Amino acid sequence: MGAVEAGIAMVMRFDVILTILAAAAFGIVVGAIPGLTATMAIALLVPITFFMEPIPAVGAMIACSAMAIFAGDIPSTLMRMPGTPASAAYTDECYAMTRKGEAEVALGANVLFSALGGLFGTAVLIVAAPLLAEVALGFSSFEYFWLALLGLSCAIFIGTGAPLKGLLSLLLGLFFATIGLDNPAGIPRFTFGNAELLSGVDFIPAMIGLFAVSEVLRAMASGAPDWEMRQTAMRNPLKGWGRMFVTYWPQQLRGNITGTAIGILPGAGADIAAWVSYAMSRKFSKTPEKFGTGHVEGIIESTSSNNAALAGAWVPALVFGIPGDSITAIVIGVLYLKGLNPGPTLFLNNPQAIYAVFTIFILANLAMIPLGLAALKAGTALLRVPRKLMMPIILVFCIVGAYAVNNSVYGVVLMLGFGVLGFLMEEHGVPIAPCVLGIVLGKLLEEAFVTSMIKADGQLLAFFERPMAAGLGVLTLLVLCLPLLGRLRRALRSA
Amino acid sequence: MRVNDLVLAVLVLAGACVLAGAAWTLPPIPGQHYGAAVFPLAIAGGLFLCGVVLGLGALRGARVPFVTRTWAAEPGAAWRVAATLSAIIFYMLAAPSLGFIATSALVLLGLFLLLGVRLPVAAAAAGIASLCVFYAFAHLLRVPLPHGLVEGWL
Amino acid sequence: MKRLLVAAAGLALSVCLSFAPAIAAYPERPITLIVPWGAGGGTDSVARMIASLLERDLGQPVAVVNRTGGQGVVGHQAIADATPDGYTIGLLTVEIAMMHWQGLTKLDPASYTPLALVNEDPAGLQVRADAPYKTAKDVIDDVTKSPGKYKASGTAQGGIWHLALAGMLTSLKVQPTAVPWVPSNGAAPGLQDLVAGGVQIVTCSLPEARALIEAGRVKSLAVMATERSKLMPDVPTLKEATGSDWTIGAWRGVAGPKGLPKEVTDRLIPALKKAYDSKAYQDFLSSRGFGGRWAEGAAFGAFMTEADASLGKVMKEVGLAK
Repeated sequence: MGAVEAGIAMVMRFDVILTILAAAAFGIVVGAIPGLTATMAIALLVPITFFMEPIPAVGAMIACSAMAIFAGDIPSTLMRMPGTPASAAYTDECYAMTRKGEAEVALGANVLFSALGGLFGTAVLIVAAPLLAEVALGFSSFEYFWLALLGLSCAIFIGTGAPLKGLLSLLLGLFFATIGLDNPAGIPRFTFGNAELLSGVDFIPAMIGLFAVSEVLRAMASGAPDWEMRQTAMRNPLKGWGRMFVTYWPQQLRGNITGTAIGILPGAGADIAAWVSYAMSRKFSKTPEKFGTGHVEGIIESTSSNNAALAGAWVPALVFGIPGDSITAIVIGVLYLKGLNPGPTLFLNNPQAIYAVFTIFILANLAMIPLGLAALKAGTALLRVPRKLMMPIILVFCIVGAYAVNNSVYGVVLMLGFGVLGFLMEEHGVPIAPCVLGIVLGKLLEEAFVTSMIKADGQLLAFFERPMAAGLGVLTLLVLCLPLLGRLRRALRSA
Repeated sequence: MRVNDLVLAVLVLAGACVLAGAAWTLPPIPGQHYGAAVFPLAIAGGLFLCGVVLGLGALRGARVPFVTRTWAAEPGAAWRVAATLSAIIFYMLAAPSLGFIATSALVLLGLFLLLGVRLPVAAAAAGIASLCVFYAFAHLLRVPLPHGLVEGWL
Repeated sequence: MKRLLVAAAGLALSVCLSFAPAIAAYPERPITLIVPWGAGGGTDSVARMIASLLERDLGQPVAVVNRTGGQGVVGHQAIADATPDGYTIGLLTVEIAMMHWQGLTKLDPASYTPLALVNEDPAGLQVRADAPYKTAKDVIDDVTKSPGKYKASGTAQGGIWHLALAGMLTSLKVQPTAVPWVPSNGAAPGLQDLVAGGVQIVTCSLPEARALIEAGRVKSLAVMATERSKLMPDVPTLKEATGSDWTIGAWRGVAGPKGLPKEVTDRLIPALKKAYDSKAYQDFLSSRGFGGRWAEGAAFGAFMTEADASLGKVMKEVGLAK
């Protein structure tokens, strides 16, 4: 029997399949609860895996994380409350669809394209893991600096409304990222001697505040009347999916590729992948004006992307034991514990284990479709609850979620502050998505810049000295400058 | 409640100046060119530019009153927003001693009544929702929610 | 009759409630174990292993709670601030003996009731596998020749591995500034940067560098301990390689807030000892490549006081203390 068959046989056992399904259900629950991230779901699984066989242990982690990333889209669509940071990029788009009565369509797209994205990432993992890990390992802070800057330039494309206010929002987010001790200099900044502020602004409570609490406040201001729009039920998912797949296959493919590529890089994960994909989708769309009004195109691209990133993150983790994201960081620990030490030798000495991992990936993503549909039906039922009852309950969920991030009231304080901020920002036409992007990318950008400057003894030209950095740098500058050049040309022509 | 762009610009400019002032005092990394102050200063610069452009645009554009009462003009709206914020603050202060279930039930009951839900429905929903949330988070997910009046009985 | 029953039941219940704490032995409800570092790291996995073993012995759930941020300050603060009733304990890490020297907090080892030291991993000196160095001495010679040219990484500015490097250089009469420190968000990004060519030296523990060493990308030239590691017995100690007496390691131990009652420590310390000696924990240590080190109660306290003094001395010497 070859290694492939042996690997598949290791998975196709009743107990293994059962474990995977249980972990998947657990992942859906945790992912769907705002404040509890996919990373947390995995951390909660760790003590249980101590007492499991290697293959079911790894299978549980894979299934759980894939489901959690998808399930983050559920509250994001229904309540404008991103369940995991990876959903934040397209929360507003999904919620706009719900307001139009198309919640089931939006969630249906999330289910299908999350699964397809995951399968694409898995295919890349199977075919090219060792090769791509080699490339990812070549990334130093110089390359990450350009990558973070490229990520920030997404803010130009994601904000609805005036670009100037989008920039203002982005700068606010970047400022929040500077608070605390976790900066390259190791110096407390803007903490006023407070121990909690030393830990800075965690972006999960910030995100819950900006998106969900501000929405609750707005609903409370208007007395939370029920929406006049009725939700249209999705009768036959296969039909709707077929149409979406035919119309948007290029977007989906692009999302898959972007997500996998970003996932493979050790410094960036599913959340950044979703932002970049959403921005790309809008940039290259034939109908960019529909974005932000409840248009499924951007959702498809970014939801494919974040699940593809999840599989991509396993590339450096399996080949070099370097975590591609915070989830694989935990998984690597479990792999060691189970004697599946990551490294090129794992591929040589224990190929059946690798094939078993691949098989689990495929199974988990296939299982996502029925499980996701069930979760979708259960979730949309919530929309029938009167909003007068729903809004206060959402507020309690926000409080508990913000608390659970670090198990401290500080999270609730942050949530409250950002809730008021988000409410005021939207009141003044300042979009909130760029602010979240700033908080997510600010630390990466600063760290990459300062550490690069230490390595290069302060020579700014070093950002172009390494070939890959130079390529990325030119690309970033082009993306940033092209809109300006276009505007200049128009101004000259009209003058 | 909405202030016009001119007021917003003044606020942004003031914020940028405070940020720059605070960043100036941050110590450098010994022996390095770029330290803790670089990023905050760059952000302050960006905010300053944003403020200037925003302010100039507002001066050139049509006159808008300094403050517009948008949602606040609706009867009871300001009161309901204030009550929601107070509910969050009440939770933070009361939960450590009353425990999660009692505090959450009180918060929910208050907000339900504020929105005009009838008392029996409101009381039942507040109790059931609090118990469910507590069970899901504290028991299944092991989030250490504060213990108090009710939790010890479960 | 009905009313009487209710009254009786109420009385019985209130009696139970009021006497319960006196009758029931500690622990009678779930225990929280605070970890000052994020889920998934080495500290977290040690904590989760200890927690699951304690849980079996104590018969009460032991929930691991990650209180991250501020380079460990926030979590250590939360352990020290907890009510000393034995229901909140935590895993202290070496940073507790460092951060008060940096002026980040007032907390020091004396702010806790020490329970048990459970693990220690010495620092290693790692370079790229294709670097032209055979021994640690070659590295030091090269550094002395061109100070400032080579950069090192492995943790945040002022973190334990930064101190490992600075202390090693000082002990060999080299200026610590001869190798500028490139702060990183932990050992893994530092090691990746080493392979990517961003830095030339990484000081971190051997288990952290293990995957890349086994993949043939990184080699370890010395371990800053008095004995060679079990995980990689071929790597010489720093003393063997360079003659320096400098040793340093990251350690982890369980402690509670100051003033834990005696019945709590009397119950927890034997339970921890049992957990430490268990096959599950020892297997866990060897599979992860972690080093075991045991000290209980006052001995752990003395260990921390000593570490605090020696780390403080070096931090002042190399200019990392305030």
